[in-house]
Amino acid sequence: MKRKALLLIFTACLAFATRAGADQLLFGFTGFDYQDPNLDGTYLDVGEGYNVIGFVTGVGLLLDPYFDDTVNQYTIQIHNLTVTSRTSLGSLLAVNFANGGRASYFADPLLGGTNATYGINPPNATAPSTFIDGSMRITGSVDNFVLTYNFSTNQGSFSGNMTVDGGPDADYVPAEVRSGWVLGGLSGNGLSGPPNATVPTGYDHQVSGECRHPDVTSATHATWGAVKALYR
Amino acid sequence: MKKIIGVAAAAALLATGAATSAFAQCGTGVMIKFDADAFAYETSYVNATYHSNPGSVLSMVGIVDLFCAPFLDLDPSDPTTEYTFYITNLTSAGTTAIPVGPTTFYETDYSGGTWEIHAGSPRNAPNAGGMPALPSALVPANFTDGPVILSGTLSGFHVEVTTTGANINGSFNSTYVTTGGTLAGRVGSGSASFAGNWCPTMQPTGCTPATYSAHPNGKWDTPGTTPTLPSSWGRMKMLYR
Repeated sequence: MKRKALLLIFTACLAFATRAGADQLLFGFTGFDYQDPNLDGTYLDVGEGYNVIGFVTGVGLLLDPYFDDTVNQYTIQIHNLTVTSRTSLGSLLAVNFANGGRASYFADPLLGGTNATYGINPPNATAPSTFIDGSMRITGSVDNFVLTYNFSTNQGSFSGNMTVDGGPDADYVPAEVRSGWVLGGLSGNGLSGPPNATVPTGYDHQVSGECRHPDVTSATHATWGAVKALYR
Repeated sequence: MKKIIGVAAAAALLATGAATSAFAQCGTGVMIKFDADAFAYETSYVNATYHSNPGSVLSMVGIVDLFCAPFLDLDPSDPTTEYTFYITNLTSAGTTAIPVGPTTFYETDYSGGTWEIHAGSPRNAPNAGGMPALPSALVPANFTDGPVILSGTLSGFHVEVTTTGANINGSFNSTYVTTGGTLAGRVGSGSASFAGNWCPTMQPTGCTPATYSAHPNGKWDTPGTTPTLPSSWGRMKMLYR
């Protein structure tokens, strides 16, 4: 009797996990995208590669204590995405990619590091090398990646599943929330002419996006009455 | 005799105070960036089908995350000053859905559009972790307090959402011009891109809280025109010594 009571009391004190909030920002970024390998004049033809390089512009709560832009320059690279199929209708394009892409976040010291420089016609002497020569802090696989584009309105977007699977800062992302999304909005390359003026030669679009992760599950306490009610 | 000579100066040299460390994160072309804390809402929108009805008015509120040239002296993490924006008066022409194989494109044009960025105190705008359900006394009020540092108009605002199975995302694209604000002189009258990601999926598994229509993540780019600054003959001569 006493053992049963103790067990029930223990159960009453257990934290019951509840979902405290919603999908959250891991980090935000801006940059430019380009094709490599770029096999022919068709945008993202089958077999071609999609790449994004750029700068981290903000971090969410999980990484905020470890982000210091007075010490480091933070950069991102999305790569290893190979086109497997594409569908178009007029000015609208939808592209699918093989699984196994990668998205990574780097920290390069301002003192002694190299300033990340886009240059022109990537890959080149500085891109992507100066975006990936810092300390790789977080990396993840990118699967189920889809990119769409509208050449009439000069805009598009991409999305894919990103699973954090490496890097020292991955320790700050709880295991249960490492499977999230990488999202990006694209602008700047229409049918009528070259990309927007701010897109360096050889790059295709401006990119603004973010990596997101599910909310970290939080615990709440319950009463003995609430526990009993669960089993009635 | 001193002459006041207008000189064109590179935008990156126009910072009136010490640049913040954010310069390292600016790259090329970005002037102002926002990430997690921005949300859109409309007067007549169906979240489940990504449809904006004709005549619906789109608004956006958010918190600035990054300032680049010519605003490197502004610090978005300043504990005493919060930089927020409000965009509104975007009138929908209605959404058209276009299937392209397994993907559906949802295209919406908006006419008009005004934007403003405020420097308010105290920091009181709700953020991504606590956006109030609409209607709320905090939205857009807590994003429009404090003086207007920049304001202007938008043109050609277009939202595109695409769905390919579980992959649902979108983008917004437009052109802006600056027409007012205490810091408008740093930007000039040129136009540039105001564009970014547009995430329409609903929480808890998606980006957008209930009663809102999307979570945008985007930027104002630096316009190509460079403003002129008054100078003196002495300063001009020093440039060429």
